[in-house]
Amino acid sequence: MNLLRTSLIRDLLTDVFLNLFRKRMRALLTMTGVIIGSFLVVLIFSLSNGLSVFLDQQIRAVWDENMIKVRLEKGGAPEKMAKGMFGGLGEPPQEVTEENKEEIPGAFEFRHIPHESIQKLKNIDGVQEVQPEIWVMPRSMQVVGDDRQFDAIVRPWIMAGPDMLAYGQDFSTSAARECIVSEAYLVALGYSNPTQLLGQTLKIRIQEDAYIAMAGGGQMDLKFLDKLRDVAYLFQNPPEDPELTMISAFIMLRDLANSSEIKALTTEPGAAKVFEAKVVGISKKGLLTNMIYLPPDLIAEMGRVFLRNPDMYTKGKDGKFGIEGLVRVSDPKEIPRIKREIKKLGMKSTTLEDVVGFIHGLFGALSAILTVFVMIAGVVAFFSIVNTLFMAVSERKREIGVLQAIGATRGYVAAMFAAEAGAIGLMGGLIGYLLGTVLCIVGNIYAAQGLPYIPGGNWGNILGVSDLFVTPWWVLPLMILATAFVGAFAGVLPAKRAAQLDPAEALRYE
Amino acid sequence: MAAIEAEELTRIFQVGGEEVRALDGLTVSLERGSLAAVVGPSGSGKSTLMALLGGLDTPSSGSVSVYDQKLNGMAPVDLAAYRRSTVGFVFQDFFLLSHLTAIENVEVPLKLAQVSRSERRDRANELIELVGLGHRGEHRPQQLSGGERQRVAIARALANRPKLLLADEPTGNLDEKTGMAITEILLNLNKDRDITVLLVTHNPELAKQTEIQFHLGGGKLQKTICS
Repeated sequence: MNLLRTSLIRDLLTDVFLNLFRKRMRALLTMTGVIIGSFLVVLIFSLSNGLSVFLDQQIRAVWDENMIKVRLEKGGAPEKMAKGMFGGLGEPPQEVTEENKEEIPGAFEFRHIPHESIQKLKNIDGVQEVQPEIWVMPRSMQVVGDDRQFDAIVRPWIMAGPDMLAYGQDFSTSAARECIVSEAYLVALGYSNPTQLLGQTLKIRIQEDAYIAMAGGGQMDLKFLDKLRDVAYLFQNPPEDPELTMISAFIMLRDLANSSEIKALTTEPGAAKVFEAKVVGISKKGLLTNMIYLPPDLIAEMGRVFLRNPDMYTKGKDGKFGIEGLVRVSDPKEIPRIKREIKKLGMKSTTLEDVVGFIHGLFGALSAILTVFVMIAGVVAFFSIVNTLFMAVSERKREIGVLQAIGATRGYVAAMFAAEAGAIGLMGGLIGYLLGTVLCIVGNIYAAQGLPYIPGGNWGNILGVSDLFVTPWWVLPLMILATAFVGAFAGVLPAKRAAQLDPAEALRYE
Repeated sequence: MAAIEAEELTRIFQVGGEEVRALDGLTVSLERGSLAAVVGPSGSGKSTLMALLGGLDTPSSGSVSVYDQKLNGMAPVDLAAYRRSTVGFVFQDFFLLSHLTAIENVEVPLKLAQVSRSERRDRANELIELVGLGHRGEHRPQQLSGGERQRVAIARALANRPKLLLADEPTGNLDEKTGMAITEILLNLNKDRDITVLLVTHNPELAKQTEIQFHLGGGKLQKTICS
């Protein structure tokens, strides 16, 4: 019985394709809506997924899944300052209270994380190490023995983490004069093999930036101006006792001279300091092509030169940790608990999941909007199939009568038209999928080879780690189901009409 | 044993709000293996009778049985099975499917009866040979003459070995010579295969060759002539 039923279904499908082939141009035109719809689905989801994966990888280049960024709840939030500076950013003006008075742009003050808090962070169970977040822009990098100099950005290796290591190994110690450089430097240096770069020594030139030193010697900490004002006040309103004036002036001027800002201004400017570091590893390619990752001690040393501030990233009485800290945890699964403990210490934390989740959400929303357009194409395709099938039923009325006369049941007639509609949907879906896939492949080839019309653009360097179009695995099954369903659903009414034809009347139809 | 038993058969159509009695209390019966003709002027109810006997239509009242199968009140799916197994149709306009070859046309009823692919190809070939079209099996209807098309239609009607063959003006669209050839095939089927054959015809020459002629007029049986 099953065998017979299988043969009936096979025969029905053969008939369906024969019938579609009879009016192939019409069938193809009817499919157009489905083809366009499924083509767009493939393109949209592949591009959105590809970009999402791509950005995900780029973020991972500076954000290891084991890393949490922390800063103080108060005085550590640049976005709050930005909100004030750009006029509230859509929110109504906030009331100044005792709680938030230091967060108001006019009173905003960056605060370094106190060393006691760093110690408390280190004491949290599961925390491996805490380092300051340091961003150094060297004047240049150069391979010893090579005259050419290249631009670079220096970041702590803790941010990228072991997943980003393509070749070589991690640093030997935290105090090592070693570095891990981006794979893109192989292209820039004209090396074909990573071993040509591994083991070489780099010269990294750091030159303090006058503006950064002024404004950011203590990272926007302009308290030295208060001290200057106190000195001015002393001379404008001197005490009667000249000796007291002298002593007061001496103390105040000594404080002023010892402030990190004045110290920064008085160090010898101009000459760049050269740091040497041996290349021990090569990191995966990414959007940030000029990355050099360093161990904590070396980058802190560079940071002090870069900011012209000998107190930065140091302990001791005047030592400043920095406004952001990088916490490395032993197990990412522990992150929720560690985040809660960080919050108890009066600090805010951001994880890879927070950032990646935001980006995925953004692409999800974009895909949802574009899906609406695809659904409109689907509705158009639906009505196009309904129309075609009604025409077919009308044209083949006598044929339906003949089939009924020689023994076709109503169910068979209905199934024949529903299957024709489903086949139009399914074939349209598959053709659209194929076209979309071909375009994705061509797009990926172009993206990998570089786009000649973008001056100087070589996407190959950037996209080395991922394709621009990555079709999610579920698109094909979704397409098969959705297009067959749209088709078959569109065929319901015409099939019903065909099945209800009176055979005697259908045979009389001219 | 009766092949056909129709009692008080009435079929009323509503045409433009008016009742038209295509058949009006018609009673006929026909023995198994007979060769009969239904004759009468246009509008006498011949085609309606054929549709009712063939299970293509249902009577407004009265009863009809064919080979002990009572067609009144039969579910549509059972009527389809009846048409598939018990009865074969031959139409004046042939009604072949134009996108299929002669052989494929003969295969359609076998396909609907879920006969296996190889068996139905064998049987279709055999039937095409039987109607003398062995050399034209792979031709499509539009490549065949009127007589050839009607032969294909007869082969199709015989595909599922029906007990009753209903032919509605089978020679109506054919010239005299071709018509005679078709008539001969139908007569032979009755003789050789023991199939009950009922013809609807305007053609007195064709009618004369049958054993029984039912003369219809105004939806009623006017007379029955047995020759």
